[in-house]
Amino acid sequence: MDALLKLAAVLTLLWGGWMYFKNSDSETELRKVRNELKVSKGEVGEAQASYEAEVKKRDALAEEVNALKEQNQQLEKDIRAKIKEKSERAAQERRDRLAAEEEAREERRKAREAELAKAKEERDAKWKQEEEEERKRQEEEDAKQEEEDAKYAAERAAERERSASQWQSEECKQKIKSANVKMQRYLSCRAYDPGDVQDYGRIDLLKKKWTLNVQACLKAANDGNRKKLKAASKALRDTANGLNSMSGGKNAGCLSDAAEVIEAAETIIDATKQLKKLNLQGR
Amino acid sequence: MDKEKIINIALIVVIIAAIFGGRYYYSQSTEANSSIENVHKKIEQNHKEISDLKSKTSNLNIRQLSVEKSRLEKQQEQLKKQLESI
Repeated sequence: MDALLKLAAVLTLLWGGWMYFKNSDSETELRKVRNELKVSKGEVGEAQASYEAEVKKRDALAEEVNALKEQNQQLEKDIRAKIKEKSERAAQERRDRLAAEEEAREERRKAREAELAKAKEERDAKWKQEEEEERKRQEEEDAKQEEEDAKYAAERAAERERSASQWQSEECKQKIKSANVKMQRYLSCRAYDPGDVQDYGRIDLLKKKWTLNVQACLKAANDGNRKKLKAASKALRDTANGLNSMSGGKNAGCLSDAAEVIEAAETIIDATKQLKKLNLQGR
Repeated sequence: MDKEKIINIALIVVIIAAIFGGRYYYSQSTEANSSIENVHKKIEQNHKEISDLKSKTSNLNIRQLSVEKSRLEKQQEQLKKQLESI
């Protein structure tokens, strides 16, 4: 009993001691792991602090990035607004310039129209004045021309008259001259054919008488004495009839010659009379 | 009282004291072990938390934001120059 009790005491003491040491080890281990826990807690805190710092940094960066984005967006908006404003200002300036040009063009057009109207009025007035002057000048010229025409017509008429009278004078002179020449040719009885006539004395007498009668006709004609011409013509016809009858009607040519002579003498008288008349008109 | 009795009583007392003392230290040890286990779990949790925080920190993309900031600053300078030039 005693031994068992002692064994139990020893065993319980051993168990108690072992528990004590075990507990001691556990306590030591516990302190150790608690220290480790403390360290790890510190590391967690550091990591947390680091993470928070990084988060703050990230947030700050994100804010800056967002701010930059907003600023850039604002800048882009400003640029667009400025470009728009500039384009609008340019468009407005262009519109103003076009309006000013249009206004200036309109003013120039009005001024040109006014100038044209004024020029037209002046031109019309000038034309009217010129027309008036031209009309007056034309009237004067017409009057002058009419006067000149009348004068020219008068001159032409006078000239024609002069020419006509001159021509007539010349004609008369020519007639007188040719008549004289013609009568000179009939001074000898050219047409006489003696035939079988025997009375030569009488024939010679009649031939001389013919010559004398022709000379009388010529003188009467040149003197313009129609009475003497009438008498001389009668004598010349009688002489011609005498010559014809003596030859038995074979000298009818003497009659026609006598008629020619008488006609020439009358022509001389008429032409001389007309010539005198023309000379009187010419003066 | 004889000596043996006293010794026996003392032994019984010792035994009782040893039992109670052992039991006490046993419970203390068990509790400490439990605490140690809890502390280990906490330490492990802290390590995991640290790892998570490091991972989260690395996933914050600060470098990317810095690059973006630098790009935006350059862009802002260009825009300012463009604005001034208009």
